[in-house]
Amino acid sequence: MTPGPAPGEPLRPPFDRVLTQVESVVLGKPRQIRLALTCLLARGHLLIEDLPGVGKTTLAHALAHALGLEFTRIQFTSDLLPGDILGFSVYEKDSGGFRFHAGPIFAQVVLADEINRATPKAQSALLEAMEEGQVTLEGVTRRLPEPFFVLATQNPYTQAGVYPLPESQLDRFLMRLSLGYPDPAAERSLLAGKNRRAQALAPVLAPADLMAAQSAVEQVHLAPALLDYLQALLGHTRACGRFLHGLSPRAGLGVARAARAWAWLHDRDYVIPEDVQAIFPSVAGHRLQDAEGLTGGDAAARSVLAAVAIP
Amino acid sequence: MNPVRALVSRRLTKTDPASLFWLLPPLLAGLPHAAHQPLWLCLACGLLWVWRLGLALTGRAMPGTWVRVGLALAAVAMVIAQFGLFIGRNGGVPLLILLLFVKLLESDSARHQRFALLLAYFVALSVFLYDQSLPMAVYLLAVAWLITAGLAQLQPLARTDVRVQLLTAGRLLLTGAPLALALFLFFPRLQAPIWLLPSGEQVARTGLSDSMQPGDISRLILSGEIAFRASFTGPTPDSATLYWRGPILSRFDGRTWRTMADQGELRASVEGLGSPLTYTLTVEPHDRVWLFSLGLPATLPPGTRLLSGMQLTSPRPLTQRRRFELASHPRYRLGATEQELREALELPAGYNPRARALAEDWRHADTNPRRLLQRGLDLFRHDFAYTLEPPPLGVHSVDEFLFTTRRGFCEHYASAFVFLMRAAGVPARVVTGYLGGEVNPVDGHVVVRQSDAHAWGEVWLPDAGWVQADPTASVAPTRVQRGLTAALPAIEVPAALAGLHRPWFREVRHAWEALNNGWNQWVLGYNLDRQLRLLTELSPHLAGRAWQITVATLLAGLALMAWIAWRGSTRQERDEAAQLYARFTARLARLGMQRESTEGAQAFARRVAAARPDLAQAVGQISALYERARYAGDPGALSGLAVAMRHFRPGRRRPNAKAMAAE
Repeated sequence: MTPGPAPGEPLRPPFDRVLTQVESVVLGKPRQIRLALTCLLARGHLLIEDLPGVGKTTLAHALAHALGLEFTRIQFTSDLLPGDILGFSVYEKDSGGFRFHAGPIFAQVVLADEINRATPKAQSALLEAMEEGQVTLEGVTRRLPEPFFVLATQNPYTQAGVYPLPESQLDRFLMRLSLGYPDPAAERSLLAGKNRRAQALAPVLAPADLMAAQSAVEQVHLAPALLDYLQALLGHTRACGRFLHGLSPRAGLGVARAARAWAWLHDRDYVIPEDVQAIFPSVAGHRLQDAEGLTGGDAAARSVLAAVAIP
Repeated sequence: MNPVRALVSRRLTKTDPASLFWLLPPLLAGLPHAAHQPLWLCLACGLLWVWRLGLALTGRAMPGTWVRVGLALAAVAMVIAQFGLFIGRNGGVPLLILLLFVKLLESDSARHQRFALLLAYFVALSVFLYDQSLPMAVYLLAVAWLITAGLAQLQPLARTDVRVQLLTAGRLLLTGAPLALALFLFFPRLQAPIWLLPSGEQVARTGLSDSMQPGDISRLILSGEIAFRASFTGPTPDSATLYWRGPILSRFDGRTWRTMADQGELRASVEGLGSPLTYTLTVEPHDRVWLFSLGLPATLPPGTRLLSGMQLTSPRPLTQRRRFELASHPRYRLGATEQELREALELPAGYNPRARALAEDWRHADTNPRRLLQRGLDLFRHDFAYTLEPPPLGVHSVDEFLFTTRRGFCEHYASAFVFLMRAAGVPARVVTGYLGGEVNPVDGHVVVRQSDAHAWGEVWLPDAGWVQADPTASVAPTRVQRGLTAALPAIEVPAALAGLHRPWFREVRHAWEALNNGWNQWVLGYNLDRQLRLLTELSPHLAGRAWQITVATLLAGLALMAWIAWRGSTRQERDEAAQLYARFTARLARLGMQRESTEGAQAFARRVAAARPDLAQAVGQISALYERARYAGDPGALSGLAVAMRHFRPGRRRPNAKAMAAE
């Protein structure tokens, strides 16, 4: 058997209701929704890599609405400029001065759609903002709102007209998910049902509640035995020789953060190895490159899980 | 870059040489077999190896199942065709080698590669069935080191760096060395080395034979091979007195001398004079029964017999190197039986009339055997030459030698001398053996080579018994005093022997031979006898307890390993919760429910619950307590876990393990 998380474990209230809300719009993807929530709770950003039309945007919308967060969307194109993301100053005749027009990045949930269709220049504008939590323009530093959550989508590399994100920028995303096609039952009810709109979702909690939850996640207990397991996993990626590079310490911190969030989300105050196994493919997948030249992906990360014994 | 192209180009350019390291040891293990196996086999193995290397370098897939099965069947068929059924080493070893190299072609994963390396150990070991010399042992030790390094590198989580793995393997070998040494010293030795399995082939070995005709010994002395070694307890006697007595030849048909008719135990009276010399003889295999003593053996080494003519023999042909402890009297008085004396006077009719006439003349002049003996020896003092290249002799070989050619080697002189003595009415016979030897200054052993082979005469004197008489000493005294190469004209010294005596080479050779002798004596020659003696030396009470010591050593070794394993495991599982949980999984494993090492407690509990719903509650409770105790640091959960474990005694009520395994 492959190691994996328990199916259908109940979530800590009120996130169980968030899950129900989002699931009513994004059908048949409970696992991905849980991971997306985990990413948000761990103060990480999420990259969704999949074909157009499998519900990436719907997921982002639904999450923002269910959590009562402010939402903007930036469609990345090849002629997108940094100013289109960050904002710009305009001279105003009335006041005789410059006024800053905040760009779409000044929102709590930013959906960066098809991020790999923009030029590296535009990409890096977004990614710097993600990293710093602030934007500096014309010498003035402006803080981004809190919580701040970027949900980027990208098309598979094999499609035409894409600028792949370099490893260093992939690393800015805590997790990478792919949604995949819905299973037949979910697809059938999607086809049969009426138009589901994310806008119709009622917010379940306030932004302040979410931030309190983010702080609570950091208090989740990491036992020495679990640190042993984390180190064994990291060590394996470095020593097995299968990957171009092993996981960095930053990636290790990411795994720990995501595991804490997953544990907290599942109503536990301590992390167990199953938590690590649940989030590891999403956190490590896009950071591992097979020595043979392909991006390792989830399968590579799963092989690491299958090779490392729980101490 | 296009990822597909990236994939292809990386495959072509980025084969890490370290990842090919495992291919090297099988090749090196197979290499020494090239000297003993047919050419087609060497070529086949070489091709298979190069094929495998090519696949690795180009990143191509292994050949399909049918190709591999075909190769394996072809290997079996070829070996049967060449060697018949595989009994003994002759068919078994080639089959092992071929299958190892076929195995390489399916070794695309670490598991197969490890298996191939384990096979390589056996292939390396099987070299000892052909060659047990010291250099080969050193070589194979190095191969074993490389194989071990390869295995270390193939372990999961291991680093690929070859130097690191060589260090690891070296450490492992050194760790194992004391146990290996203890087993070597104390494990009860088999009476025969294991490589004496029936080999189905006879190796032709040089050495003295049971007959002698002109030219035999001069051919034998062309060989620089060692016949035997001797080490004396006291000071080494002068090499001119070292007449190593071998086969006694008494029957003569006009051309060929043969052994005495009586091959029974010595029946004649015999008496040793003076104090005996004690020495150890290490005889190289020569496939014959005789041994070599200096004069009369004072005591017979176990398992040897003294035949008539005072000929020391072993009951079985010497097909392996053996040691004998001897004491013998260089001076002795040896009597004779009637039959012996009759045989020692017989001469074939119609041969060598001139020699007979000469001897008759002598007898008419003087019948005293002692003076006749002297006369016979004096004859060779003038006008005779000692040479390795005597002219060929016709039917009347003694006549032609004595009166025409007058050039010959020791067998010519011994043969002519004994013939003359018999014709003069004095009983006489030919003794073959070795004369002298060379003292190796490194270890003080006397090394006797085939080139020291010699033949001399023995004459019956009524007042003294059998007396040794060497006509070669008359014609070439230097042969006796300083050895063969000094006695021969320089131009005639055989090339093989000339090299042996160059000064710089001699020193290297001495050191090398002493080293080899040590190896033969102490490693290859370490037999049951020596083992018992070693044990006796350690303590007089130990010898009878070889088995107890072996068992004790093995137990101590096992205990040591168990302790190391236990220490290693406690380092990881020092916390109590983990130990309790390990007990829990062990109990379930006995019921056929094995926890995977990568399986979390909850996942395992779900799996057990599915297979054994009757245990679901207890297992769920214990798993939850374990989780809390181990990962939440909850001391209450730990004591709860301990209590729960005391009551957890799962039985085999519903053997539904199959359903679980299928999951």
